[in-house]
Order: sequence, then structure tokens, then C-alpha cells
Amino acid sequence: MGLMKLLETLDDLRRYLPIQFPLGAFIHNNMLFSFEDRPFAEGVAEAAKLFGAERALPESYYQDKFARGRIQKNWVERGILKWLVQHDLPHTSAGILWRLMEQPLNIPHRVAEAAHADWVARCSRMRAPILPHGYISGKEWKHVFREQLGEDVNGFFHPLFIRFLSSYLDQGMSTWHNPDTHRSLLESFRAFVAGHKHFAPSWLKAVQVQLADLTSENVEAWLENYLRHLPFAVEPRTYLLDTLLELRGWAGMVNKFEKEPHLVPRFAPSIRLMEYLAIYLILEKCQYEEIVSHHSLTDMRLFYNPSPLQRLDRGQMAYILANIGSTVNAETSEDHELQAVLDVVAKFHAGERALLWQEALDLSMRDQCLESLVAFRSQGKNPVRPKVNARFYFCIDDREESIRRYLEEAHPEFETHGVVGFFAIDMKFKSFNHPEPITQCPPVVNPSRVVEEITVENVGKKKTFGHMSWGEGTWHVWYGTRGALRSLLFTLLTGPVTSLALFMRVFFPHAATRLHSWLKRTLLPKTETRIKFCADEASLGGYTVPEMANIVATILKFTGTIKDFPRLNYIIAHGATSSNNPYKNAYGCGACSGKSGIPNSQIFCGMANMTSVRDELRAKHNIDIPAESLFLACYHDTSTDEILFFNRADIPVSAHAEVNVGLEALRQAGRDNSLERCRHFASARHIINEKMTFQHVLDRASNLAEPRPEYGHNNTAMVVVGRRQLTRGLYLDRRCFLVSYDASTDLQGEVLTSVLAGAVPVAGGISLDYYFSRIDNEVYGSGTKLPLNIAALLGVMTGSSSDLRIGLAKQMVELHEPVRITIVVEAEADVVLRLIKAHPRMARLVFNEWLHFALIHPQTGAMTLFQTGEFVPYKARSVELELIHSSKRYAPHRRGPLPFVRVEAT
Amino acid sequence: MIDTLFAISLVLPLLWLFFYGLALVAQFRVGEKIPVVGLKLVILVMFALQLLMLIEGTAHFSWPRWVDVPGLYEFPLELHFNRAMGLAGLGMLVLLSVIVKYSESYLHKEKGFHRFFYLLSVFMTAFPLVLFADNIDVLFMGWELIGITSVLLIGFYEHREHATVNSWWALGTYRFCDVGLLAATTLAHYAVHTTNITKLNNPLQLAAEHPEHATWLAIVAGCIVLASLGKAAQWPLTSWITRAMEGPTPSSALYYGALSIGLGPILLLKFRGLILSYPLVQGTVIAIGACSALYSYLVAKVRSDAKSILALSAVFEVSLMVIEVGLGLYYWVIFHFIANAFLRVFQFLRSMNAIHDFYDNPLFYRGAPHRPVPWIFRHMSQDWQRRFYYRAMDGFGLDGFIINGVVRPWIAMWTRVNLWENERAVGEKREL
Repeated sequence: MGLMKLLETLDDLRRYLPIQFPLGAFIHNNMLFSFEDRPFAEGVAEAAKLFGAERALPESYYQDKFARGRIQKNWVERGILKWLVQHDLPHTSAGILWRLMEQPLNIPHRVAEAAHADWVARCSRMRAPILPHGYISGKEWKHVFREQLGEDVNGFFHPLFIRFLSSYLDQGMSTWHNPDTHRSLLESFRAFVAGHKHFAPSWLKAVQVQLADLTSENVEAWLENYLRHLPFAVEPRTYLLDTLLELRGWAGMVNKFEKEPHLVPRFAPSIRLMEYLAIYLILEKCQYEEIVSHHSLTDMRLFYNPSPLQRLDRGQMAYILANIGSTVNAETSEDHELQAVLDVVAKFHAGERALLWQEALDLSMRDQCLESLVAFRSQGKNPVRPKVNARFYFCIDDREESIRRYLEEAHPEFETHGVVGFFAIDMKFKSFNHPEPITQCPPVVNPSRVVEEITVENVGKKKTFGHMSWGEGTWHVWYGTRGALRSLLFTLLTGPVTSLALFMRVFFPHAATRLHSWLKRTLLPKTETRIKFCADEASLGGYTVPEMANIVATILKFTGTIKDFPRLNYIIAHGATSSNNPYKNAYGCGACSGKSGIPNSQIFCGMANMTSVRDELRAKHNIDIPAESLFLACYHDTSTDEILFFNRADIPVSAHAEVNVGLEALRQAGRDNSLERCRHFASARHIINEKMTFQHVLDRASNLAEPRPEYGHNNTAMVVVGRRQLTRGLYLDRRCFLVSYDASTDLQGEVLTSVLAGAVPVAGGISLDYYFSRIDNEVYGSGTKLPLNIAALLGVMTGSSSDLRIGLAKQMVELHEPVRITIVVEAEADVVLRLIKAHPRMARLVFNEWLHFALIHPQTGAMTLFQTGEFVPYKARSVELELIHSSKRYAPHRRGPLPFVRVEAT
Repeated sequence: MIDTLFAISLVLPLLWLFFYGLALVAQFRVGEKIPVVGLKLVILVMFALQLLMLIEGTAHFSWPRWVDVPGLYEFPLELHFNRAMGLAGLGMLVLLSVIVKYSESYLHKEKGFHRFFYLLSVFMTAFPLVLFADNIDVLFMGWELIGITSVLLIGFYEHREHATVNSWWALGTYRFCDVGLLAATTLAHYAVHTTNITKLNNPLQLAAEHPEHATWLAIVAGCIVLASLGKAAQWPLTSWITRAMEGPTPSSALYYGALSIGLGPILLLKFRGLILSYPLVQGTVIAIGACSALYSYLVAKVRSDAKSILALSAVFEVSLMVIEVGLGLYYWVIFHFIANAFLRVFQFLRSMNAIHDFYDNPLFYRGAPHRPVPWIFRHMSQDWQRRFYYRAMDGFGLDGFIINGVVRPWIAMWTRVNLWENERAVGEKREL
């Protein structure tokens, strides 16, 4: 392998590393981003093989879902037939497979034990000894060491290496800052080893020898040489990949530091994956040699490769023995005969069955989505509604579906729309007490400028504490209480005080939060701020009037609301509150890169309320916003269901009363929403009215002890891009992203391009993140939240020295039904097809079926589904949608995912 | 009257333990509410009772012939309540109530929910035994129960290999130090025919009664010091403490931030009279405390994960308490114990907030915080500073020393013995 080839290989291998950002800048992403260029099933299978992951949940999960009617029988049957065809087996076996699928193997434990023993005895005849060769190797050799010697080689140096790496990358956690962050990783490591001059273990001395002539300049050559002299036959690429995946969380973080240093919150040392690899390999080699020296090779007995049959689980073995054992005499028949007879059942093992179930669940949910839409169109009446007197623009987020529903149910005269929650403002935002600009647009959009918040003047009485002093004080307590000599003083002084704080925070979480914010409010100077978003007054950033008009026009065109403006137009951003939660950003607004959308809604309203912008809109975009129309910046907290309103100062006093009506309606909808949300919370079971649920969600959001502040995007299953008429009055169970789009105002498909380019990757990223974290939480997710531990302010580890965990924690996804998201667009096929092909990421997702894609014809309402490269007519079964009086009566008392129904009230 | 109340406060958790255990063993459908409500009630009653005793000042419980081998020997069961230990006991109950409330929602739906609450119940039963024990036999029971719950909580996630291995580290350390307690018991029984702590705390009188065994008492004192090292993670047995961060956060908070780790100085405090009577032992205690304080201070400084830093900071405080015991302080140690417990539990419980604590701080992006070289190294050359920095990162090689210097030779020895035995067995078989 030449030098260039090595570099190429390494760059190619980077894509197998996790793409997770430091947790402070978390955004939802497809965990298998680099496999998207393959068809879904193939990509998932390959990734599962590479990472050692599962492809589906345990069978029992699906059997339960089946019993609850969440999985359609016909999809299971079709799956079985397809499986038989794939494996070249006769259709006659379908019966027994169906029995295997449906019935858990209820074999008494004792019988299973006996069968297992019998089986192992039989299998032992088939074992073949495999002798190790060479003295150092990748996965297999490590396995031998573990199995035969009980030595976890990598486990020995991992803690040390992780501590070293974590301290090098640390953003401020440790009290004594790493002295070598200005040097390269390799130099820092050399200093680390040199620090162990005396009393060092022998293997560290060996490391020092290895490091002697290695520098940042010749590390490539060294690695190339190293790979050339591997003492065993393995492909260098595989070897490198295996090495990188040993600690893939950390390797991924190193990769992020190298490739995207701007994501790093404070300082990114110039780190290179190449150096990481070199250090890892040296440590590994020396540790191996050390361990081998502890054991004579005679310790190693023969290493048996378990045959596939041995891997069957007990239940299966017992089943096979009970059903087939009688026809073949186990004692006399040859192994290959036995194998042939068992082939069908053995091949259809628990993993295969679960995969089949998973596919059936996925397709059943797709059908539920599509069939409900079709049925709603034919069965739903279009009631005559009063004239629209207020419009509400929400984010497309699936969590906003329910609050929109409640708003419309209570007020038929209101109209709601869904737009991507950054409101077309592609900016980084620099708030007045947060000097670092923060991206406030989706990860797929490149922020074009920085918008700044500035202080107007200090009002109110002068206060001694400033924001900076507050921050300073926080540091002092933080570092002071941790292992310094100040610690003693702090402990003795603050110990008694913290007992109170501890008690408050645990027993009265919301009250404690309120007290805390009250303290901050009274102690800190109250600052009046203004956002400088106009280009003419700012030296940096800001938008010009035509640009602002463009932004406003974009949003209005997305939703097709370009005429008949009512007086009040509420622009509602959203965000989330949670406490003690490193995944806070996972609950924020996906369209604002996990932040709250407050500045975006404020800026948008600021723009839309400007006379010059309205003039421009009238002149250039043919949108006539009457002078009395107001745009009102609001905020919905998806965790607490509180509604905030920002620009009261900007609106004329005469409008206050009218504005308040809308706000009160929003607040009521928020309370209703909390009632619906509580149906998934076990600790809210006893709660019956919305007043109590509202208090419950408030407490939950500020509770330190709550690993589930809200349930986020759990169960997300669908995106509807189209007019609200398609779904208004349809109960969608908070499972649907609702994107407003009116095809009749967009004949060329220009608007659709930006709508889809914003919505599809965001929704797709969220749903796939949830999908994989749910399917295998240990590999694609970060496991249970309870033992997590924050490392270097970048990510989380389980315990004190594990790999950096990726993905979402178990508590965040446990309610999720793992299905691919179904995207339904109300537009014409040729327009959409052309558009998808022009957008590479979307093309990959759609053509390789990482999501389901369906169309509704804007005029005829005919539904087509994207299958194998084209849109084919979708044959919906006719389903009768239940008619309910109102969501409030239907949802709150039921558990689990509900079928979609029609709501009478709207 | 007050003695009866004392007895009730000791037996009540035992009853709870029995019935809760019975329900679990009999596989009744025990919901998540039952242990939570049950524990809260028991804690409330215990709190009230202990408050009464605290006001009263002192209480006794004794069962003189608990173990009675007629004509040979008898073990009494003696417990003694005093104000200082009572305060520590109250602190424990308050913290436990916080932990129970916290765990109720934190562990909701977790596999092992009942295991966790059962272990907490065992802890609640055992802790007063250690605090109020008036002879080493009783103390030993409580001590062991706490040790075993600690190990089981570290290995709470049994499917994770890391968790299991790290719980062995704790187990190994505990067992090693238990030798000290066991030896102290045996020696005390042998030398002075009593393990009563009040009596042992007056060694001059005991020595006068048993002049032939006077020196044994100094060895008993030494054994007690050895026993206190493991739980308090004192030097040189400190390195397991960061490995213990594998369990759920509330258990880490309770054990390694606050209570279990504080039992070391509490044990020394109970044998204060004995230890302070022997200047050599007293000096050893102070020296160990000083070493551990320096060690944990340095190692905590360079660590960069939230829980390790907190655990080591707790060790630092505990080391100071050990020094304080060595210096003869009494109530001060109890106060320090409680203050530290509250602070660390709070910090542990909100440790997951760290990322957003930092990111939301307006100073975070302005180059702050300034994290200087600790003052004791400020005058050294950069080379030496680095050397200390990196040695501290490695925990000054304690882990490596324990693996290569202790564990490996130990295992190698037994492997050899095993081989030898097997060969003999084969040989015997052949002869047969």
C-alpha cells in the first residue's frame, strides 16, 4: 500500500466513523449516513455486520404489537412468502414458518435445558479446531485472548488512552488544563510517555522505544511501513477499520475536530486521525507483547469455531428436537442429513423472524398513514368555516401537530400553517450575553450571515451583579468545589446551603426553577435588547430590504397565504426546557439546529412588520399586506406547553385586546396539549384534568431526576407536504410533520424545491436517528441514560472510561415504533421526480428507500407511491375512519399509538 | 422507653427488608409504587424516632446472650446511640429520602428497578448498625452489608463487562480491608475477651485488666485503620473509586459522593479512644490522610470526566476528615461528613447538567475559565509540571501496580497450585 493509497484509504474510512457532533451542538442525523448510497435493507445489513448491531428488535416486541393490531397480517404473510422465495424453499413450509412467527416458543424451561445439552453434545462432533497463527491480529485474535486467557488486551490500555485523549480534547472540565494542547497529539503523547521516566511499567517503556523516531511529519510513512509488516495475513484496510472502530466514538470525535473544527465550542487542538491511529496501534502492540510475555503459549488451548447450529437459542433447539427429532434418528444419522432436515427451521432463526416482523411493522404503518389520508379525503366533510380572522404559523415539527389540532378544534375561525421553523432566516445569531454566534438554521442550510443582539440601555435600578460576574461566580463554585484546597472551605460553607437546594430541586422542581430564575432576575441587571437585523444599520451581517422581502415572501409563498391577510398573524417558534439533560438539543427545534427558534420568529416578525419591506413585497412579489395586519412573535415550549409572546411593545395599543384573544386561545391549546401528552407518562396516570397535567409537565421539565423531560419525536411516522385541508380534522396522534404547501400557487415547482429541501432531510434525519437508536440502542444509541458520565464537555461515556457514546439514550426512544418515515407530497409526479433527482441527498434517501415517498395529485387526489424508481398508483384498502367528537375526549385516557381518526369538532 | 424506641428504629427497616424481599421472592406483582412509598414511610418513622433520641441524648439496646454457647462463649448484641452518631444518622436519612425520591422517576422502567430499591433498603438497614454498633461483631455485619450492596450497585448493569470487572475491583478492595476488621475482632476476643467499642476506647483500663495482652490492643488499633482504608478509598487503595462510577447516578452519589465513602472516618471516629492512645497509630492515620488528600487532589485536577472528578473530590474531603480524626476532633468531623455528603450528592445528581452549565455561561467563549497550574507546582520547571500532570493522569500507576504487582502474582500462584493439584489427582486416578 503506497503512501497516497493509505491517505485515500483513511479518508474513505472516515465515513464509517460516527458523524455525531459534540453534544452541545447536537443535531439529529442518520446514524448510517454513509450507507445511504445503498438500498435500505442492504445498507442496514452491511452496517449491522460492520458494527455488530441488530437489525430489528426482539421478536417479542413485534408479537406484542401484532396482538395489539399494530401489524397487519397480510404483510407478515407476504413477508414469509418472499423469504421462502429468497431462500429457494417450497411454499409448503409457509405454515410452519407462520407458526414460528406468531407463537412464542412456549417450551418449558427444563425441556429446553435438556434439549440444549443434547444439542451441544451433538454439535461437538462437528467442531473443527482452528489454530491461531502469528502473534498479533485484529478481531479474531483479540477474541482468542479473551476466551482463552481471560485477557482483554484493549481493555487494559483503553482507560489510560481515553483519559489521555479526553484531557487533550477537554473544553473546560478539568481544573488543571492540559499543558500540551498547543502541540500535536503525537507530541503531547510523547510528553505523556516521557513523564513516565521512572517507575514506569515495562510496556510503557516499550512504547517509548516505538515512539522514538515517530514525528508528525513521518507518521504517514510510519503507518504505511507498519501496515506492510503486519505479521499476519489481513487486508490493511480491514485492519485499519477494525482499529478505528475499537473506540469509534472517540475516533469520530477526533475526526470531527480535524475536519470540522468550527463545531468545537472552545478550542480545537490541531489533532489528526492519522496520529490517533499511530498512537493507538503502538499502544496495542506494546500491550500485546506485554501480555504474551505473561503467558506461555501452551496456556492456549485449541480454539473452537462455533458452528452456526450452536448459535441457535435454546427455545429453537427444543422446538426443532420436538418437531423433527423424531423423523431423524439423532444417534445414527449423519450430521449433514440432520442439517438438511433442520435447514428450513434453522435458517428461519430469531434474527430472520424479527427482521421479517420489522418489515411488516414498517409497511403496516406506511399503510396506516396513506390509507387514513385517502379515507379522510373521501369521508371527511369539508365543513363551512367562518371567515379566517387569525393565522398561526407553526414549525413543521410533529410535536406541533397536536397544539394546532386543539387550536383549530376550539376556534374554527383560526387557520394554522406549518413552515420550517427557522422561518427562512439563514443566520447565525449572536445574543448579547453569548458572544459566540450560534447557528439558527437547519444543518443543511449554510448560514449566510451573523445577526447580532445589542443592548439598548440599562433600565431599572442599578444592580451590583452583572452577567459576567454571575458567570465568574459560577466558575468559582464549579472549580472551587472540585478537589482544590478551596474545596474544604466551600464544602463547609455551602454544604448546609446545598442541602436546601438539593431538597428543593428534588421535591419541588418547578418551584426551585422559578426561585432560581427569580434570583437571577433580581440580581442581574435587566437589559433591554434589540436585534439588529437590518443591513443598513449594521456593519456586519443583517439583511437588506429586498432580502427581507424575499424571506417574508418565501414563507408566505410556502404556505400559499399571499392574499386575504387577517389582522393577526402569529409566528410561533418552538423550543424545549429540560434539566440535567446532556441531550437538550435533541429536544429543540430541528430546523434551528436544536436551538429554540425565538430569535428567528422575532426577526421574522420584525421584518414583516416593516413598512419598507411591505412596500417591497407589494412592488416585487405582488403580495399586498394591509397596513393594519400585524405579525406577532410567539414561542411554544414543547416540554412545558407554555406560550410566550415577545413583541408586545411593537404593536399598537388598540390591538392589544384582540391579540390577547389569540394568545389566550394558544395558551388554552397548550394546556389541552399537555393533557394529551401526559397519556404516555406513567407518573401522570392519576391526573385527570388539564390544570394538573399542566403543572405536571412544568415539573417534569425542570426535574433533575427526570430522564424523560418530554417524549420528543417518539413515534414520528409521517410527513405531509400539502394544504392543511388534507389533514385538518384528522387526528394524527402527534406522529406527523405538517408542512404547508399549496401546489396551485406554485406551478413551476420552485417553492416546492425549497420546501422539500428543507423538510425532507430534517424529518428524515430525525426519524432515522430515532429508528436506529431504537433498533439497537447499545450500538447506534448510547444505552441507558442512568450511568452516563460527561467527558470533556463533548459527549457522554458509560461509567468512567468507556467509548464516547453516540446516538440517543434508551429513555429517549423507548416509546418509538421503529418505522421509516412516510412522506406524502401534494404535487404532480413529474415535478417531484425532477426535483428529487436534482438534490443528491434527497435522491439517495428516496431512490434507496430510506423513507417511503408518496404523492397526492393536487386536483384528482389520486395517490401514487414511489417504488423501484417510479411512482406507481397506490391501491389503498378502504378503511372506515372512526368519527370522534373531539381530541380531548378521545386521546388522553388511552395508551400506546392510536389509529388515526376523524374529529368532528373542526 | 427511649431504649424501646431505639430498638424499633433498628428493627423497622429489618421488617421492611423482610416483607419486601418476601414479596419479590414470591414473585408477587410488586409495582414501582410499593418500594417507593414503603421506603419513604420507613425513613419518615426512623427520622422521627432518631430525632426523639437525639433530643434525649442517649439510648441503648443490648441482647447479652445473642450467641450463647453454654460454658464456652457468648456474643452480646450491643448498640449504643449517642448524639454525634445520631446526627450522622439523621443526615443519612435525609439524603436517603432525597435519593429515593430522585430514583423513583430516574429508574422508572429500568430493568432492575426492584433490585436497586432492595439494595437501598439493605443500605438503610445496615447504616445505623455501623453507626450505633457498640461491639465489633455488630459493626461487622453492617459493614459487610454495605460493602456487598456497593459491589452489587457498581455491577448493576450486569450485561456490561466493564461494570462487572469494575465491581470486582471494589469487591477485592473491600475484602482486603475486611481482613483488618476481622482480625481486629478476633484479636480483641482473644486478647481482652470483649469487642465492646466503649471498652476498647479505654485501652489503658483494658490493658490494666489484661496486662499480658496489652500490646495486642495496639495491633487491634492498626487493624481498624486498615479496615477503614478500603471504603474511604484512602491511599494506596484509591484507584478503585473512579472505576466505581458504573452504576446509576443516584447510587454513585449516595455511596461514593457521600455516605459509604464517609464510613472510613466514621469507623475511625468510633475507635477514637483506641487510636489516639497509640501515637504510632495516630501518626499513621494522619499520614494516610495526608497522602490520600494529596493524591486525590492531584488526580482530581487532571481528570476530565464529571463523575470521576466528583468522586475524587469526595475522597479529598474524606481524607481531610481522616486527618481531623487523627488530630482528635470529634463533632467537627461529623459536621464535615454531613456538609460534604450534601454537597457531593447535589453535585452528583446534577452532574449531567455540566455541558449546558458551561455552554450557557457567557464567559465560556471568552477564553475563561482560566485553569492555572496548581499552586504547589507553580515554581517548578515546566518539565516537572508536565511530569506530575501525566503521572496524575495515570493515577501514579496505582492501577498498574495492583494488576501487575498483586493480582497477577496472586492468580499465577493459585493457577500453579491448581495445576499441581490436578496432576496429583490424575496420578492418583492412575494408581487406582
